[in-house]
Amino acid sequence: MSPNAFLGEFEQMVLLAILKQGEHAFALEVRREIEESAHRKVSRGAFYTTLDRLERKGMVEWAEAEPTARRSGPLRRFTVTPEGVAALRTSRRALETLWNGLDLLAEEG
Amino acid sequence: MHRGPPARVRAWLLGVLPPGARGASMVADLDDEYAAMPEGFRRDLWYRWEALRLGWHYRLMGSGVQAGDDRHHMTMGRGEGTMRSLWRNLGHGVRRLRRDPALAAVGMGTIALGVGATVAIFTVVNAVLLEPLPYERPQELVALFEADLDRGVDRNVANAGNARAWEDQAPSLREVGGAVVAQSAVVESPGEPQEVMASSVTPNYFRLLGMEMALGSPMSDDAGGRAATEVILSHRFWNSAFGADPGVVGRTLSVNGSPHEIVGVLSPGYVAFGEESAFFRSVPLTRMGDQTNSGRYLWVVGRMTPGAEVARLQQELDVVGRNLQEAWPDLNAGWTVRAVPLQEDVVGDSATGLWVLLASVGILLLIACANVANLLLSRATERRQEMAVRTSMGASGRDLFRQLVAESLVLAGAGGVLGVALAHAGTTLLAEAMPGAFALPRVAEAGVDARVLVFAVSVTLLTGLLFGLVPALEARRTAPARVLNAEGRGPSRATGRLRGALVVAEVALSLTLLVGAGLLARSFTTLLSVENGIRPEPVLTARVNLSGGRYADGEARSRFFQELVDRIAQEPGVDAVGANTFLPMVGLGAATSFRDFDAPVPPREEWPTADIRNVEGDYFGAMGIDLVAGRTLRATDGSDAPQVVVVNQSLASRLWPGADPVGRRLAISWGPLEEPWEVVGVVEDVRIKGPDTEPRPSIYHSYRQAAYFPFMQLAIRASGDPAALAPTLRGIVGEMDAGIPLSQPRLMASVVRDAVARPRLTTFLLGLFATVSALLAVVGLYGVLSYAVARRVREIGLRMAIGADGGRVLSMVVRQGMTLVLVGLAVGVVLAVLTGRVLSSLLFGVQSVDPVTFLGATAILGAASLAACVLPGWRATRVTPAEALRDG
Repeated sequence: MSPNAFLGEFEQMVLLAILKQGEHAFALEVRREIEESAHRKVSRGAFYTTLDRLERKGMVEWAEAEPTARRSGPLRRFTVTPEGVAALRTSRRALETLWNGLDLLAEEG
Repeated sequence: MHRGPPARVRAWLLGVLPPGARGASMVADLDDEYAAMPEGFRRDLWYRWEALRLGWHYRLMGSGVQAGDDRHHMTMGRGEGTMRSLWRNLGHGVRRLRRDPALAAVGMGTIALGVGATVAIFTVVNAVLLEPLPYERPQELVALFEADLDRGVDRNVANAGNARAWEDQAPSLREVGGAVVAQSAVVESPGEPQEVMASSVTPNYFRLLGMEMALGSPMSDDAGGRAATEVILSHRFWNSAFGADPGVVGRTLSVNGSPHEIVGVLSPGYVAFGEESAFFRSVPLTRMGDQTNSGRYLWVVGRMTPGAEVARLQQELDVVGRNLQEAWPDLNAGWTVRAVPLQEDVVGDSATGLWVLLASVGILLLIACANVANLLLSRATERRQEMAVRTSMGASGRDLFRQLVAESLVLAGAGGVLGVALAHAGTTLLAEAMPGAFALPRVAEAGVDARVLVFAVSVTLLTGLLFGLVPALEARRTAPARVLNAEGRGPSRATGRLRGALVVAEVALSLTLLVGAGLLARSFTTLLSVENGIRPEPVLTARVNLSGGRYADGEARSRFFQELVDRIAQEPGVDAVGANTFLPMVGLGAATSFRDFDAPVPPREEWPTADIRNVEGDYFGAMGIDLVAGRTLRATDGSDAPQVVVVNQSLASRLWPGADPVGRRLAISWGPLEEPWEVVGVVEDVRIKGPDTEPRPSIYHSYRQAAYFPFMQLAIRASGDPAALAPTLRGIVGEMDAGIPLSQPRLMASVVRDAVARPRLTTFLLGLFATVSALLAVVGLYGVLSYAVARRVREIGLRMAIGADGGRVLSMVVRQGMTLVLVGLAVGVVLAVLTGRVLSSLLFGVQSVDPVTFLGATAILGAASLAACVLPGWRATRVTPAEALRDG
């Protein structure tokens, strides 16, 4: 397993949000998805640089989509690569292993 | 109308973000969100903020994008944001300084000294010179004076009718207002009666300046009517006397025994011409031809029409002034009008001194920088191995450069913070040690504002770059191979030359400061030794003001002061006692024109001016003013006796050169001109306005014949300690009338001292800065030589081993140092000559190229430098061959 397979929490959220948005995985929608489901503000700069980083790691790809008439510039549609999906799985498994046996404790907390 | 996002910030963002669709799509995302928001100011603000955040995120942190993105990569160095690398370098700098506490302490201390002095002086310069007056459109405000250059008067207070005529006739002048200042008044509310300074202003005065009321309302517009019983409190007096009581408006203030209604409290801030006033009453702006329009007493401020220029206004006033001369020759013959920007007038003659001080602390800071640069250079030589190792491990020249600059910035930053604290402590200390020395206009407003902060931060950064750049550039030049080779461990030739140049610069600059300080010190001692015409020790003075109902006429006032002086004279410990309407050296006083009564009448504009003083008791004896001819004024020179005066030597020699003045007669334009005053005596000249002014003609009346003013200043010559007489004095005044305050009891010696407070402060500060600079320069020289000796231990040891004696070695080291010093001194003399020219307006009785000062300063600095050379030289002679070999 390459070291790139370890994902940060925010990276996981970005990947999951892209997957969830599917056909509509444009930057604005992905960011909104994260903000709504995680109930937290996402800094624009951190968001884009994370996308850049995931792209560099080969987990995310993007292609230009047809923009609406009123849009002032190009529109990027993001997709998660098979490597990205694999990394998400790895992270989830690792977490689940760690969580095993801690359910009671977590519920009490 | 639909408007797009702010174009400039959008263009900037596009330039900062990665190129191509990547960046453009981010901007388009932002645009989409913008379009979805409700239109308005807040939306634009939001866009700017978000764009800046995003842009800076990319600029500082770097995107980390590699593929096809070279432009971006370039700015980040090894995939790391500039900011992050800066932080890393700064952190490194902090650790490095912690490892070398001696370097850190000396460097920080030196920088703190330089930055502290510079920031302290700049704070004052900022408040006094740079900050515009705190008024509405201050550039439109002018101070308007009358001038009579033939009689040596260039900024005289004005006649109110004239001021009104200027307003009516000069098109560039929209409005004038005026103030009658420094009126003393006795107030009784609240509490004990006390004498305070007050002003009377025209009712429009504060509106004209653009000053607001903190409480209540401005005065009524009719100065003669309702406004006559209204007062406005100054913010300071409201605080001190009324404890900032918000319910003060509508209450009564008893002024000189008559009730006045408090209608308002002025907002805080500098009050042009009335800064010292506790409160303000109203004075009407009379018209020419009005019965009451006489004399000159009004400080006039004018507001020009928007866009008008002072030069144009002056031309208009020249014309108006000529018309007024023709129309009212009795009042105006010889008088012209002068317009000066208000700011310039307020700042006055304090500007030169302040700029000189700022320049001198600037030099001090430069010397401090040179010293720290020198220190770092000596360390840099020791650290060449460290640098070489780093280089061979892959650090680029730029990395080393950055690292060293970051270290310097850390040093400068720490020194700067310390310096600002030092500046604060220093000014507070100085203000306590020399009260009255800060008698500069507007200095009370001095404080840390945005400009001072920006100044302090820039000075600190600049300092860091200045002393850090030299060693950092040096480090880049060094080739690793040469250094790692043991032979190359000594200082490079170039570094040695550089350090020599720094020493030369330090010596030159500190000589300049020493000469400047020396010139001021000589000028100051000359000032102190000027014959003032008085013997101020041991004399106690105090002020008694009879303003108010019970002493309305001159007769009653005169009787009071006669009795007061008589009773004081009977007290033990009193040698002589008298009183005068105005104290010498204070600058304030009355003056009028006069002529020889028995000579042909000259045209009005040719009448000379004399200072008018009214005296009681043995004033001349108490103040130590010598009688030159005739007699002084006596108790018999009362209201029913013939009118007599005593004049000073200047007046006598002006009207009757070479002849006996006693028995001659004067016409004085203060009272009826057809009743002459006979001269019964001549006293020596007194410098009324301070030691640096020329004596003017003076006329002394007996107060019994001319009780022109309701107050007098007592002068009591004591046989013992004069200060011990103050309680007695207070007791006597209280017994005579409990409603009369005795104010400002002071030793005459301290009055004289205060007259030279400003030159004293300038001299003291410049002297301090020069001394510190010289010390820094000498320490710098010592450091360079010690270091050179330490590096040459082996060579010196060998020389000694083959028979060189100690004297030879000593002279070799001393010669090396003194060569630098002599070059520095030569450059310094040239600089000092140039500096002297700038200083000349501050000098009194000393030439700007004063040989004594130049030789003295050169000798002192030369001697100190010699000592700094001899010490390391002497140490060199103690080197033994064995030591030398070990050290290799």
